[in-house]
Amino acid sequence: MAAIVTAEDIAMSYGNTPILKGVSFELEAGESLSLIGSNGAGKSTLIRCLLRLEPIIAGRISLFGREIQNLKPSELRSTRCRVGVVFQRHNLVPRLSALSNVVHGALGRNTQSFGSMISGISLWSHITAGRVHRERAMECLDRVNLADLAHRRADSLSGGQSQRVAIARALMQDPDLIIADEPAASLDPIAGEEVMGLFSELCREAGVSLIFSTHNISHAVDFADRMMAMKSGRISLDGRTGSVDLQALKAEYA
Amino acid sequence: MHRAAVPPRFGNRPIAGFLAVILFLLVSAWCFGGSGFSIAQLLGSSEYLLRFLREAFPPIDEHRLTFEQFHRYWLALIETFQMAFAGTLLGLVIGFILALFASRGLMFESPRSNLLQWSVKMLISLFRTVPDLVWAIIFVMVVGLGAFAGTLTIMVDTIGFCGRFFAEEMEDVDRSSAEALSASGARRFDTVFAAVVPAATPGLITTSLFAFEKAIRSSVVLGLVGAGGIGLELQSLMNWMAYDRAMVIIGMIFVLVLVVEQLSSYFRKLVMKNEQQ
Ligand SMILES: Nc1ncnc2c1ncn2[C@@H]1O[C@H](COP(=O)(O)OP(=O)(O)OP(=O)(O)O)[C@@H](O)[C@H]1O
Ligand SMILES: [Mg+2]
Repeated sequence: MAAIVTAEDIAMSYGNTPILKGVSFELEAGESLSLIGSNGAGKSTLIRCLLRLEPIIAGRISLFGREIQNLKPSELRSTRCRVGVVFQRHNLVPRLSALSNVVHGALGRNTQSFGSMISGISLWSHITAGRVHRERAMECLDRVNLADLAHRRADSLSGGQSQRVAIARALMQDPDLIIADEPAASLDPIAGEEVMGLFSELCREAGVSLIFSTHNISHAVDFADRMMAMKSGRISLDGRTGSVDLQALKAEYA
Repeated sequence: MHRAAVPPRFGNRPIAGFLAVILFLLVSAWCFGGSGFSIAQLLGSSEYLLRFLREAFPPIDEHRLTFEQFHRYWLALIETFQMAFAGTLLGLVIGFILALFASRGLMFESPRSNLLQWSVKMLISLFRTVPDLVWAIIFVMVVGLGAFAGTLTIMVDTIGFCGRFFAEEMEDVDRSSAEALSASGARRFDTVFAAVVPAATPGLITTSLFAFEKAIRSSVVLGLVGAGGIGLELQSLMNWMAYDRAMVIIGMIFVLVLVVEQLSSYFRKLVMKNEQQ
């Protein structure tokens, strides 16, 4: 099967400080991958580079077989809209309802034509969105068990609920890949477990690939097929989750 | 036992603090000198003040203020309100559009767009820094005497005020939800209106209400230069030394401004309360 993410020897620096120093890996369709490593190892930076939120200074990144460095803005958007993104926090627009936030997931779909520019305007809030989008957004909320909170404002939701709304928004995109940067880090153990379980279940059901970073080794072990550890900007370990022994993992955090 | 040392009065740079105080006092003295402020003069002119007050509050006499006159003042007051409202509305819309482009890194993000952002910011500053009476004189010259000139003045003034504060409010919004949307393929334009504008809404409403209060106050004086509204009536009465009727108009203005300010602060509190739930 073809790789949907390919990183070839990528390097990145903030100012003169090198952060990523030659990172290479591939992700197959349907695979779930956890990223671990101590604070400052470069996990978030790698994730931001994969989404082209930060420029890389060397190497190549391809998503779905397209090298993202040289894409035109419209091509970049159509590539990005196949990737659902969930950050650690502040994913949602605080003053809008949960439903509106989920409707936003459709903003990235087909933004090429002039007609879609007009329909994009209707997706700013669930009030103006068309029936198809509203119904689909309710379905996505239902899949994360939040249908009854559809009209609650995002800033009145608990941390766990917010992350589930963010997941629903990612589902609204009908993505081929979901990338999440410490999605459970600001949650209590039970909510964190719930959110991670939701990710792996939804991804398995829909055949969506998953990349997530975490500091929680048991999340990495329980919810991903494959594990990649980072250490000062390099990948120090990469293997099937079952075959990595815990002693080696402890060493990665040292 | 360990005891913390008392810190010096002016931090660790006593000379700088001392010099700053001296400088402030010198500047104050210099400015009062130039402002012509004089207690003696104020007390010496009490005679004129008394005359104004005596003539402004005459014994009640129905021949002094006819119903026709009062009706005319009333219409002028209504016109003042209409000018302020229409001008503010136009100014809010145009000011908002300009603010989108004056806001750092909002609509575009490239070195070239910095020039655009800077130019729009300068345009807004121009609208704001030229005083409203000067705009009124210009517009009276261009479109002639009357309410239209006043409405245009209020509009320009509101663009200057709202353009600046709208832009600052949108700059202050946390951009992470907008970034999450653009990471999932949304267009910049959509992320601005789906994520940044909703988050800035309470601030935008509050600023708009302040703009309207400001517009009501300035629309009152625009009549002095012929740009419509009740100021014109006030000026002619003052010129004829008809202080009693001038006082009626001052009273009407007072009530109008007070009512608008009360309403505006009521709506502001409503917005705040809605945010705290
Ligand atoms: N915007 C920035 N400007 C400058 N340096 C940055 C910036 N963001 C991150 N860094 C630096 O890049 C390095 C890698 O940070 P990164 O956030 O990728 O680490 P991480 O593995 O995600 O850590 P954590 O587990 O704490 O989230 C750190 O040394 C950090 O100080
Ligand atoms: Mg991180």
